[in-house]
Amino acid sequence: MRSARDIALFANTLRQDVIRMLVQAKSGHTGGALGTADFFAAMYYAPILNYKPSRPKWIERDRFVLSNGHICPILYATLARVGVIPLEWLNRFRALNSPLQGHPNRLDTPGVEVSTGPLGQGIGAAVGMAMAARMDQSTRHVYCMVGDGEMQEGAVWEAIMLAGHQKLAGLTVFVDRNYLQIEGETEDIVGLDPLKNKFDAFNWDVMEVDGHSIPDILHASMWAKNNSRPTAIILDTIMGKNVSFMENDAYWHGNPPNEEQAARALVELEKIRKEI
Amino acid sequence: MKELPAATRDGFGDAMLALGKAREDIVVLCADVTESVRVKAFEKAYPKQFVATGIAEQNMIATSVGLALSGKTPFAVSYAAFNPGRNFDHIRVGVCYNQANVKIVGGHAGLMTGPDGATHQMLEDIALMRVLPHMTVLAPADYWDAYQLTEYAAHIKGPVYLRLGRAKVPRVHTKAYRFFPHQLDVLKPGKGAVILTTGSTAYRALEVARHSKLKQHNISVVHCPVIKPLPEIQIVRLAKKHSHIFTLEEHQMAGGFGSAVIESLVRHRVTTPITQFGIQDTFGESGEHEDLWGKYGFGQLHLVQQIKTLFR
Repeated sequence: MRSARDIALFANTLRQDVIRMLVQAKSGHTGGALGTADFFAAMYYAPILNYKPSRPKWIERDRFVLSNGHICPILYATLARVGVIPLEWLNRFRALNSPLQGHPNRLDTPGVEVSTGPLGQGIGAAVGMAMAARMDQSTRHVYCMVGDGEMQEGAVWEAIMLAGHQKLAGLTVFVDRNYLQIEGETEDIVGLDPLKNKFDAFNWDVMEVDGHSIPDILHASMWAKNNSRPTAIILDTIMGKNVSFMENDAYWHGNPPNEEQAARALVELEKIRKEI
Repeated sequence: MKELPAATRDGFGDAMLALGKAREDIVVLCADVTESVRVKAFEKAYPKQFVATGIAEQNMIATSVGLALSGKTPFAVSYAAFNPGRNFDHIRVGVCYNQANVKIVGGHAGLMTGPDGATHQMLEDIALMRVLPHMTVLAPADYWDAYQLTEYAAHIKGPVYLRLGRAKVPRVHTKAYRFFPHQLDVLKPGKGAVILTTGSTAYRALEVARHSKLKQHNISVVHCPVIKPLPEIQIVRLAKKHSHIFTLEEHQMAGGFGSAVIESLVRHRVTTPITQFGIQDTFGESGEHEDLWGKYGFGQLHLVQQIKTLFR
């Protein structure tokens, strides 16, 4: 387990990578990528995930599925920084012929477990992966992230129902609960609260944690691994975290920074870095 | 046709039973219709290889994708109206874009679903599935065909759509029949005109060609079990050897098998005239199989009459 400081520095690196990637691409989803950087640092760098960067197809690896695939800039930055893909690829996000597609493509990018994009599909695939692990009597664990807006898709609840009924203990789902979607606040559009109660009602174990506290995320993940039912960890996050003018603004769901905004963002992120 | 009529769903169910025994990687998922799509026996025999998804066809496919990407060979089974009707996006992205080894089984396709009526009579599934990249589309004609196409689906790597029907149909093959993936299935050699059919209408095509009013014209009857990838060279050859092609399918005329044939012949600049028989841009309704076929243009006498006009 790496030190809290190292993990925090890693998260800061990821945020800077995201800004650079998106300003270069002139396209992409900034807010969710920044908001989940601490989670991704915990998952891949602490690491929570049991994997081998040089062997992305290792059969017994833990799986991580990004069901809200549009925040893939953070996944790509993470995969580059842990050595699964070349760092150089980050310069070609969303470009023609690029190995880093606008939404994750498992056939182009090592480390992407399943191509996602249309919301509500990845969590179902994660359920299937957890079932396969159980059929194989394997201890490998399946982790999945879903967006909170994504949970308006009925297919998500089909997956949750099935996993709960089947007591799929080898599955842990993290919710990026930033309370925002394209049109604004989730609770104004189609409210999800009380979300914790919903998971409980579907026979899952569930915990709410500060999505920017790496120790809390690590603690919750360990708790999840020991549960005998599928587990949901609701991450209380701020969209656009650590860039002051992006925080909590639905505009940044699907827009990239321009040159000037990127420069300001990087200054702020460097300042935070020095304080770590 | 000496053996008793049987449904393509029966051939499928029996093949799955054998596959489940032979291969541990085979997993069947079903959205609450095990008896009617003939996988109940599989569920009982191999419970560890069976997943009841409940009435949730979208998640059935999503879960199948996860299983396939973990090394399993899942067969996702429900009625064609819902599978692919309801979960097209999941099939498009989850299965095809991922090139996941998922076999989608669409039962109760066509009018022959019968009394349940239009909502359960899927007439658009071939069109939906054949436009997807990386998808193989199979439509068996009878029990023996269904049995072997099921085995074929399990054998090949990649997405497969298998179209099955509810009704018992006369067998057009004997047990000795062997399916070959890249060949057309000549049910009745002939010349002049050919009825080119797929799936459930194969037996009707034979009855029509053998009818007393058409017998003397020695019409060929050819079944095409693999709609995608379409055996284009074979179809072009067939077209060049005949003076008229009739396509016949239990599916909308728009976008189905007949459309695929027409596209192929135009692409190859083959000018053999074609007449399409299929559902004419309408939904079905409640009724019994043969009565519905009679009403919607698949009756034997009606087809004989239509074809006979060519020979005047």
